[in-house]
Amino acid sequence: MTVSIDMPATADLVAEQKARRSIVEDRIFFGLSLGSAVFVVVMLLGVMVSLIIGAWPALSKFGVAFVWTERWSPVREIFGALTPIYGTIVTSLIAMVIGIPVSFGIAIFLTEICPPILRRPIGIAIELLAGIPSIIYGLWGFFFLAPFLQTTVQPFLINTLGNIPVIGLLFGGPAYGIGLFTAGIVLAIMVLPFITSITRDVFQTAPPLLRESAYGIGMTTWEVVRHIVIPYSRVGLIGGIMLGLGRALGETMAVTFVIGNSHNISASLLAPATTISASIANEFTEATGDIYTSSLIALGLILFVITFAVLAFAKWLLMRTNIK
Amino acid sequence: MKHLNLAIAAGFTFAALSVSAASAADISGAGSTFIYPVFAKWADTYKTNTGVGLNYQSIGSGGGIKQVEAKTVTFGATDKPLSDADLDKNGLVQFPMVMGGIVPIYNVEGIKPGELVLDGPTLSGIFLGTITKWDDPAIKALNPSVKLPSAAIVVVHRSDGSGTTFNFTDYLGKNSKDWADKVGSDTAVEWPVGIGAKGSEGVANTVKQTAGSIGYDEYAYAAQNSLSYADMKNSAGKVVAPSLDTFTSAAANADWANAKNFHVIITNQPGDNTWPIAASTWVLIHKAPDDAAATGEALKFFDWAYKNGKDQAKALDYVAIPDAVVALIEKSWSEIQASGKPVFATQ
Amino acid sequence: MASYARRQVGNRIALGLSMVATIVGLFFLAAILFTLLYKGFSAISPRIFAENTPPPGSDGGLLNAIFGSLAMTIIAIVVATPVGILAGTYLVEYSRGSRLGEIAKFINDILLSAPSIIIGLFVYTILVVPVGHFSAWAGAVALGLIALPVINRTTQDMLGLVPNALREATAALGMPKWKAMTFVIYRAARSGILTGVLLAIARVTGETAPLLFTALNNQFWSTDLGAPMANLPVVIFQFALSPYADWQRLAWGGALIITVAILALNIVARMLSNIGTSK
Repeated sequence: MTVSIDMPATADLVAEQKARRSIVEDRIFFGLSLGSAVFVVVMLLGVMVSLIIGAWPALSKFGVAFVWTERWSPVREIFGALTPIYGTIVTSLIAMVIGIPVSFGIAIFLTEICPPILRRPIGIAIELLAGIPSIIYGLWGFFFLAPFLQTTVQPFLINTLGNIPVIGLLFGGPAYGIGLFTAGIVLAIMVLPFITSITRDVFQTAPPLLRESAYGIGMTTWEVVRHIVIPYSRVGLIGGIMLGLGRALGETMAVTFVIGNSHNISASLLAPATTISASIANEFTEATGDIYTSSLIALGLILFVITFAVLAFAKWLLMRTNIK
Repeated sequence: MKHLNLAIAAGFTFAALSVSAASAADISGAGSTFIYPVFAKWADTYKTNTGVGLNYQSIGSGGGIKQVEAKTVTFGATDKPLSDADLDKNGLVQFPMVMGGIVPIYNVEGIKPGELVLDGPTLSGIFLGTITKWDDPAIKALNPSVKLPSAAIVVVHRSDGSGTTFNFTDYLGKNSKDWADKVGSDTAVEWPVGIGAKGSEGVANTVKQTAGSIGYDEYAYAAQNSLSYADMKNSAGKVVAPSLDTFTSAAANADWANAKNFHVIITNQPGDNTWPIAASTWVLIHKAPDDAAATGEALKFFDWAYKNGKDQAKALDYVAIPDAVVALIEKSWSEIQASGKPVFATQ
Repeated sequence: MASYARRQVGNRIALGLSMVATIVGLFFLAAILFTLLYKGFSAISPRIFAENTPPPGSDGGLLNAIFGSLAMTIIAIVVATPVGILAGTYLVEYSRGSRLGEIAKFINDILLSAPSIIIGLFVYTILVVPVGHFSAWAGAVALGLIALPVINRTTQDMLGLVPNALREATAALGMPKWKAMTFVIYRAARSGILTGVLLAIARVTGETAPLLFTALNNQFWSTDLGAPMANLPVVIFQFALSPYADWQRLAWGGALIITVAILALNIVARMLSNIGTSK
């Protein structure tokens, strides 16, 4: 990008030397930045490759059946990913079922009816939830939420919903305090800020003209949101939900505290379970034997594939709405 | 993982050559949470006396075995002794450090510490999930005068690889054919029911936090944290409370001299005054250590602990290894050699 | 008219629920922060900054853990910042619309939200196993790999905000590209990029999982980067799940320290970006 100017002969040489050096410097700079950008891509590939290599012994021993085998026995060296996968999916589902309506509610409140002066503080407050590290959520969940649920909400659920024929299975068993249900609630609180923030941004892309036309024909605020804004921003909304889901799937520390670490699949939502990340966090540093370690890395690989797919899908959807 | 082992070996040699002499004289160890309270006490005193610290990671026997096999620590500590084959394969020696008792701990409103009596078959039933309520007839039979609530039992067990689990499940297996058939005994088993907690610390903490729960833990954790522990009916039919006396009675039966590699399990021992769930902790060290200096420091520490740490161990209700056995152990240390000479110089 | 009344009621209910949702969200925030303050405040004393982590049953402080976290975070940021800024530079300045550029941006954003425990596993495989032991270096690398996508992303966003007129002006003056970037463009985006670095620090400060298999932990004071090093998150993890009252108190104290640090960083970052945009 150097520009050469016609100058008298003596200055020519100096200018030429300068220009040549600049070209070299520019090339170095370009190389460094290209290298850095490529490094990020290489890192992802490196992660994938190292996970596959690490998981290979387990996968070659158990085959694809690893994914649906329930048994997890370090003693007999038989491992199956079904229990952690089940826990990961169920806790994330609970988090979504609770988190999506609440996030939408907050977003609607902030965009439609919140007084303008309060908008910023409340928005920042909700975003603070995202800044709190997950180990704090774990501490809070274990020491406060779990005992509270164990003494109040869970017995209530067991005594009421637990007696209904089919749904009762979901709410049976003793009140452990920690378990799938508690972990799901903690995850819901953690994904709130993400889904809320994207939902807010997406709501704001709805053209004011559309809204005003709707108000013009007499629709109420809620009807405008429900029939105009949400359908308009549907793609972005799903993207935001997927982003929250991606977070929930990969969350480690908060879940490890409150999931109960049990390698059993139980029908009850109140039962202890385990998730992929909780299993790895709890068992990795002491896994003896190649197959055990390799099985844990295989779990990591499965988690990586699942979250990559979800996050890629989310990103693609969000790209289509031009929201960053 | 073959190439990883090669990489570990190659990397370690490279690291050993390139890294300067150990910057900290700290001894590194990892493993059993069972022995951690007394290790911590010993380490504190040892550091004040000699300036050498003990960096011990209380991550469970499974973790200790793995770390010492991977040579990421100088010694490992495990409550489950390794088999002769495993010791040979990894070039390790093992020797017992201390003995103690495992107690059932519980958190039930209205039942005071030491008020509850349990026995092997009942404990097995609880952990199998066949006994689900505190007022079950089996528990009632052992506790006729205690007011048992009709609450559900929340079982708490270890989630990590634990020697404490090994000894506990060994005891359950000896008292319940169902348990031996269905679950067996090892550092990590497929628990039929219950919540998993990490480390002896985690079990103690979870039981403390969860109403109606029962778990198992090393006695020092229960005592230190004012947890309720149960008395047990031993194999002689007598009800005993956990104490240094009953642990010593169990330990007295250990025939160390005739056990190859000091492989002795002391659960369910005979005797009127014997605590039924007793256990030992072994230290694992490499026969041909890469870092002879570090291993030497470690052995010096253990020697000090055997000779000078008895009172502290007693204060925490651990049973010290008898002097005669210590002599045998230190004789076996001559196997630990570097460049042809024993690492530990016996006085 | 009844239908209109019904719609009005429906509207009121829906909006009322949205207000309830907001209150719920704010309630949880307050509950968590209040709990943190309540439990952590009693642990904060000069002692916590002066003494190392104690053996179980004794009182002590968090000095070695605080040092470890600071050391590893600083190394991580020092390494990740130039790489992140340069990567962001390439993606904005050189590769507009190119295939590689789009893919790199996409992948960076995925890494941004990827589970950090996976990064921990990766660094374990490349930096712990070959060397044979845990180390603070491995911990710092893991943290750096987490900070990198954050800095990359914010640099992209900030550079994108710099008006093209500025770039064209540097070209008209005959500045070499690298000079234009370092003396003019970066300067213009300075507060935004700094915001990104602060946010990366905040993000990395709270990460526990990647440190579990890389730096592990250390009870004693240690400045040896080639050995396991104490750090706040793992110490909190260990102490909180223990039954010892002293340890639990220190865990809450450490948690409060981390949260205050992160909130402070967020506030400063926000103020910086406000200064930047109000120019």
